[in-house]
Amino acid sequence: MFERFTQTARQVVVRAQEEARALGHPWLGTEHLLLGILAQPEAPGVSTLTELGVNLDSARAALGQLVGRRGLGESDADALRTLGIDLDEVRRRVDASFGPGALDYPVRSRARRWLPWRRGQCVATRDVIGYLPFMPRAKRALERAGREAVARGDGHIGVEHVLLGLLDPKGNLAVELLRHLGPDAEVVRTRVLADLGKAA
Amino acid sequence: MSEAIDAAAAATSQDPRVGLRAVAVLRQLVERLEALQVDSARRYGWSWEEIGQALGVSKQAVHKKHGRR
Repeated sequence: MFERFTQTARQVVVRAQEEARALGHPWLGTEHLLLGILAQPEAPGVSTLTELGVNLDSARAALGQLVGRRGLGESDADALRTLGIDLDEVRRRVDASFGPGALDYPVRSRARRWLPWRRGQCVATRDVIGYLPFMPRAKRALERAGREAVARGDGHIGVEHVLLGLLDPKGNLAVELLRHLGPDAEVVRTRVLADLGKAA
Repeated sequence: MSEAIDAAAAATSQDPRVGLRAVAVLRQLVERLEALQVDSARRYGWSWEEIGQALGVSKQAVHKKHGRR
């Protein structure tokens, strides 16, 4: 799948894995790919994001907020502290027993085990060291990146194509994340294409 | 000791906003822990009956809540 990827585009995927791990996420999603892209500010297309006010720090913070809505966040920890409960300690113990992310990303196991595209399925690989499994939308984004390259007549798949691939009209967490930070996916796409046209 | 007094004071906070919020989050935390433990028990081969007994509820109640998760 990655044969035509440039060195930097591969770096995006590697970095995305690291970002996912750092967050304790047992999967690789579009949100991590976006962080991976932002970690390459010199790459084509990424400066457009920076101009739109999206950078690695702001995206990380926004992801924390978005995901925080699902998991237990800082304000929840404060509330529990008033009861003398240390949420970090609870999380540490739960993760030790059930694997990283167990408390914040509850397993949707059994009933959905036969649906391989469900996020819960990834939990089975929680303990596996090595590549995290790509979530379907992340996979789709990379496939879209390939199509973007073909459409532009580029022989390689670069960071700019991965970025365009992430801007999926069908929506994904990366798109949600961008909207949270301001720019709409459609706006980003237009701007990126314009900037790439200028550079060419 | 002073920490324990602080915690006890907060838990019985006169301010309903503080007290109710703490209770709400605690409930959320309990729900998550229950889900993890029930899943784990099922993987260990426990029956719904046994899980219900351990949780102090009927097997129907526990199955209704966690069976289709």
